[in-house]
Amino acid sequence: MLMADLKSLSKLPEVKSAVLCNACGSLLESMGELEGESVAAVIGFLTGAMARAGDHVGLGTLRRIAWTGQAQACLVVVQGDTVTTAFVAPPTALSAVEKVFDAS
Amino acid sequence: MPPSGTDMQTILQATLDVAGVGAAIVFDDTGRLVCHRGHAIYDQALCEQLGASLAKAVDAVELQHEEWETISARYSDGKLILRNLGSIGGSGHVLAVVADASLNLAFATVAIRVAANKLKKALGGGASSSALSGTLPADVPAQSSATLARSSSILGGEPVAGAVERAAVQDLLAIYTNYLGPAAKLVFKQQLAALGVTSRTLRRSQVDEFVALLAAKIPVAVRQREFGAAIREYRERTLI
Repeated sequence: MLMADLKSLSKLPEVKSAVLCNACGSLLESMGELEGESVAAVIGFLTGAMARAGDHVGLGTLRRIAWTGQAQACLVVVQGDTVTTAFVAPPTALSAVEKVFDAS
Repeated sequence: MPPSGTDMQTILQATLDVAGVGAAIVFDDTGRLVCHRGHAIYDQALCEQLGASLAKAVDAVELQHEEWETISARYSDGKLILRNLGSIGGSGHVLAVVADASLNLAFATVAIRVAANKLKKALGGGASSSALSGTLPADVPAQSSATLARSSSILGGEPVAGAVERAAVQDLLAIYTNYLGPAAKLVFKQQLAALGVTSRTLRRSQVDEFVALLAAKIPVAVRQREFGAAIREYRERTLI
């Protein structure tokens, strides 16, 4: 799911917004109503912290992060130096969005 | 009645009984390890490192979604699953489970939910997180004890003489957020920790040094100068 595919991802009604950034948190592309640069910075920090956490316990390369709450969920997919983030509502639609990533 | 270490460890052990789970830990919002249970390789020092890294990740998630319930991370060789236990005694707590690739996620999710509910009851039973640190094994290395003490001081503590007023600290954070964006809260907390103080114990005499540390984290020089000017203007107005 790279930049060219971000538009197709945002066409899913459950995906309210999406951001494509690099591992350092620099914005490459964004869709929907959000501050892309701010979100990209946070996602860059998050993936760095989770990668370090995985390193501590020998879990290997970070592939994917998902978090859920009452109203929305978020999926972060790491592919090399590229990180795709999708904000999903309702949160029950998260697995459907994950399948889209799996198929791409 | 406060939970004993045995209560907490019994709850974590039930999670550990799920096939594929290697360790289960509870940490607070400063990354301080509250309790852990795991296979032999997951010793206390390793779990402390894990808790510290995960606390930073949780801070980042909370910038986007303060009311998160679960966070899961998939790696090439396993998974990390976090469950929000909520705020207990004024401090947020999180259950984290380390698992290998053989984990049955649906099965583990149920076990983690059950453990989380029991932990919430146990932690909410009157024990502060500092009391719970007594549940750790008695043979904690001296260095780890020092780390725990330092983490505890970062968390809060009593206001000290000459400390900057709480409202002024919040104003400083608000100004900093204008220049650094959503990561400001996290960086602000890190720089307080770098000075060895908390938002309650930052002294007026340390404000110059603290502002310099904050400014250094703003990536663009022009914005650094603008931040410095905004702080000067604020300090002239409020006399902090």
